[in-house]
Amino acid sequence: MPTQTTGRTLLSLVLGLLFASMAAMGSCPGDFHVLLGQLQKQAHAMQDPSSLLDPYMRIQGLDFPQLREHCTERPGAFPSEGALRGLGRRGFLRTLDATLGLVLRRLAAVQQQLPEAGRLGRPPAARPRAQDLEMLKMARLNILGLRNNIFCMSRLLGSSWDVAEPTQAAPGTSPPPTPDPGAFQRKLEGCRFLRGYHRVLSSAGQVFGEWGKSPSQGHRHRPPRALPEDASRARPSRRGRRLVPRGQLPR
Amino acid sequence: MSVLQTWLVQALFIFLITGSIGVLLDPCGRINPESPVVQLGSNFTAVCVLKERCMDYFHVNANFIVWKMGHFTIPKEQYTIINRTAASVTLTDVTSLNIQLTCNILTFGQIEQNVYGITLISGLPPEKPKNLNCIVNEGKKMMCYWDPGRETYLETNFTLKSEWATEKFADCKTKRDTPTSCTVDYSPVYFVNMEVWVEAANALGKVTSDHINFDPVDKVKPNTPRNLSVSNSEELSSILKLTWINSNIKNVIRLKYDIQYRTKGASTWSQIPPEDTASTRSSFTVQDLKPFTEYVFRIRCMKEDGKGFWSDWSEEASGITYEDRPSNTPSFWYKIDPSHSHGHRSVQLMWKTLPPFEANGKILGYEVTLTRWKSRLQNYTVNDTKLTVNLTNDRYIVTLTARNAVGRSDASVLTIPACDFQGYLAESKCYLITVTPVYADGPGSPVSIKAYLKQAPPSKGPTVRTKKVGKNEAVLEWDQLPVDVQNGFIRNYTIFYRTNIGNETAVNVDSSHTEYTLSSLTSDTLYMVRMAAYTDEGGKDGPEFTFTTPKFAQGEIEAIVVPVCLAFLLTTLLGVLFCFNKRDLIKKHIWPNVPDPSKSHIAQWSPHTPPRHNFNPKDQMYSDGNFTDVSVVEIEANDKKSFPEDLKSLELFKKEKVSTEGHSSGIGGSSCMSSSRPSISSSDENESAQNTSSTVQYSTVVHSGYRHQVPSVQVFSRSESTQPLLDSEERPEDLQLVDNVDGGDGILPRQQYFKQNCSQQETSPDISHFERSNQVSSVNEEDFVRLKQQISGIPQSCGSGQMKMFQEVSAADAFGPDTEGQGERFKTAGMEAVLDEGMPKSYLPQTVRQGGYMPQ
Repeated sequence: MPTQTTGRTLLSLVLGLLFASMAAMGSCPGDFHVLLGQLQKQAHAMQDPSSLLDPYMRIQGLDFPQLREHCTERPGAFPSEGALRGLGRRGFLRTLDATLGLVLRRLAAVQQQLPEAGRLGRPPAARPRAQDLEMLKMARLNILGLRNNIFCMSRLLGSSWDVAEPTQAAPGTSPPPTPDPGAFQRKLEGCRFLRGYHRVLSSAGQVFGEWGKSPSQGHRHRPPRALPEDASRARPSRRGRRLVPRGQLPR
Repeated sequence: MSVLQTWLVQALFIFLITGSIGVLLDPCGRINPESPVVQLGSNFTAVCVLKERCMDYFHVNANFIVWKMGHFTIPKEQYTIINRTAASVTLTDVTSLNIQLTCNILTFGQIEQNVYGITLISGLPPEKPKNLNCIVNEGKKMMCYWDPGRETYLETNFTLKSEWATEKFADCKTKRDTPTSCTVDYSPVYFVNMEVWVEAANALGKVTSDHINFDPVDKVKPNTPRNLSVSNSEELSSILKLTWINSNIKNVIRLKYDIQYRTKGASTWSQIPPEDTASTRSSFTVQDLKPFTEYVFRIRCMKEDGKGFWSDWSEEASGITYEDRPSNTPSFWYKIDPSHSHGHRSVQLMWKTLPPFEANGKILGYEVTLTRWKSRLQNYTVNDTKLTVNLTNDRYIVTLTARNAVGRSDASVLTIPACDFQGYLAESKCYLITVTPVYADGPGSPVSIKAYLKQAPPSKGPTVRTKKVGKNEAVLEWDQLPVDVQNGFIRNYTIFYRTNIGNETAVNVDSSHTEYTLSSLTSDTLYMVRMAAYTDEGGKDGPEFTFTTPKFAQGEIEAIVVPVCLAFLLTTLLGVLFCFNKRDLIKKHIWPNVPDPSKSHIAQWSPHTPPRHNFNPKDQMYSDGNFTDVSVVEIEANDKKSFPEDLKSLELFKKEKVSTEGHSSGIGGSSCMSSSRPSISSSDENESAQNTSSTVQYSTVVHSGYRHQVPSVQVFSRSESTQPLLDSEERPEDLQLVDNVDGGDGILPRQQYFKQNCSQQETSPDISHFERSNQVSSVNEEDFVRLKQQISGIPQSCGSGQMKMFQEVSAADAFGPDTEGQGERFKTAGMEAVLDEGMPKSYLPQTVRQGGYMPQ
């Protein structure tokens, strides 16, 4: 009798875990290629600066050609494409998720500051447009959606989200302490940060594209390789390809 | 102070009033439950509990309770007295949606006093919402809709729930006026699957719909393509080019389109084939349109893979195709003014304007050309639809073309007859009379009819011929008579046909036919047929035609011959197979072997065993020393003696020989015919030759052991008749030479040649002799010596004494110190001899060891 009870308990535990796992995957696509296609399209759409950087610059009053020239990615802020390629699939997903988490936090901080900016007595022309604010909200939702798909892909690849795996130590996750340079410099820094964000998504799109070409679609791990920053120079073709978006958006 | 007093008085007053009202409003009892909601069709029980105070005051208890629904008193049978203060009532099968239920008491025996009342609400629990679907109008938030199911009669709340794998969105609660749809308050995120479901709840329960899982991009309804415009092409009058501006969704998804068009004023739309518009684009060229025609277009779009919804139709846009040259000629006629002067006449030409679908553009003018007989042209360009010209009395040909910006129409031709044209009509000629009405705005549609002034019989009859001739029928065909020979309207045809001896038969055929089938004909019969055509005035026969019906119908011969041939072939095949299987039996009964023993004799040993006969792998085995002896026995047939029994023995021997490995049967069958080869032949053909002619010799070469015995001796036996000897037999020295060569090579180290010649016609003086190789063992030497002695005692003629000799040799060899295999072989041979004891003995070529004979 005790044996039966123990068996039932174990069975219910297993079934419960299974059900919980299935429930967690409830809205995830079950097909690798479908999910990968979604990730590629998300990365492709979100790499467009008009989805986040441009409204940010308009909101922050940085939308001037001279400032645009200065709004370049700070080297080392985000992992390079070569570094992303060098990661295993799970490591790549984890790194991308961490990067997106960082962007979300910065975005939340910006959104918190905006009401203050609106109360500063700016002239109406300098006030952030509602459309730009809406775009910031949409960008946040899109980032959350991408993280959701990263989670789904991670589950599909059979990895546990909690298992510790080395990620690319993106310097952006712990920016070097710098003296507070003032509000303008902070805005410019945010601009550079978002420039790097869009670049990372472009690189992520390339990496996802490689996944689609890979014969193995299952859980395949490449040994993590810590590529130097300029490792991608050794692959001129890939770098060149990155400059030209792979998938043209439909007309 | 006074104010304070006033306030206190007021407060006391209010307190007293409130207290008295409270006493007055305090009910004498309560109904439980107070706010019931029950399901339609179910039972409901309410309990009324009286308060002690009222019971004492009115001197009542629970027995005095009366239940009422509205003004209707519920029968006592539905009551239940629970105790002194409480009584319940049960309502069965509640069907009313709203019931006022009151608890009353009868005070003083008859006065009904209301104690408490409740409102009973009834309804249904919600059904599971069905057909849940969502739509994402581009640029707007997602709206989901569903089928709520049956009416519940209760307030039912629908809540739309949605979530990602990692996020849960806020519930979307329906509004009272739109309970079957809900628009979420967040923007849809494309390419992220989400799960959506609906929860319906009312007082009677809660139920959840099936969950749907989708990518919002697959639920998109794009915005309508805008700024649709239409332009034509000067190069092609049958096309129109549409251009439009796509919505921004094209940056996210690929689109396909649905384009419809119609001519202006038409009600039905035509559709561009969907496969032509199955990809994202912003323009499209519509082809195969009519020139100079106004078309109206509209367009809509949706996701390329068909998931999602069509956008609304765009606003209609219209365009006109470019002009093309007129596709038809104008209707054209003339009118001659009767009051013409001498030598000239006034002719008015008139025509109709082309309808738009034939004008293919704006008609800029007409060109009229007048041509008199073999004279130059007169051209006129007219904008009107009529032209008056002065013509001579000659005959004219007038042409008319319509012209637009692109080109001219084909010419419409009209002949104006000469003025002195006399209407002479000939008899028996067919005329086509055409009448064209002429209205004020031009001529109408002409009507024509054929007519004869007077009919006559045809001048020629139709020529009939056969189209197909069958066993009992024939299909006849003919051509319509030319108009020139008809001389009238052909009313009917008559077909006459007859045989040589039969009566003529006539068949009438309608004039519209050109073919007729004669049936019920006799096969293999000559028929003569002719045909006549008739007008109203008589008929005319055509030439006679003959044909013969075939004896057999088509395929009839094949139907007989083919099965017969197949049956014959099958029988032949079966016969051949039977003969092949039973060939031995047949041969035995029909074609027995009849040798001519009188011509047989024991022949001589032939030492000439050519090395090439060692091609057999078994023979190769002997070259390494195992090959011991080769004996050649030549047996000559004796003409004077006949031994029919020998045939059977010979046959038996042959079979054994064939079944024994290493036998070289069939080779060297012509050895007796060739001087360069020893006599080694036992082929069937040799036997056959022996059976059919006594002059053919046969012989046998035995290379290996008999019945798995290791051969130590090869025997060459030959039975020959009166044929001349071989060269080797005629010149023994040649054989000796070969023998020496073989011995010198050592290939056959222990080879012995036993040569015996019993032929009476042998030219050699030696009747028999032995030749031994140098490697013969001592034991074998003794055997040979003894055998030689025995054979030396044999009479010249190989007669019955041979049997004795065979037996003796067998006995001697059976105890010879030979190999085990040899002993075994001898044992087998001995058994054969025992088995054959009952059979007639005969002289047979045998495999013997060291020159001996094994009797059978």
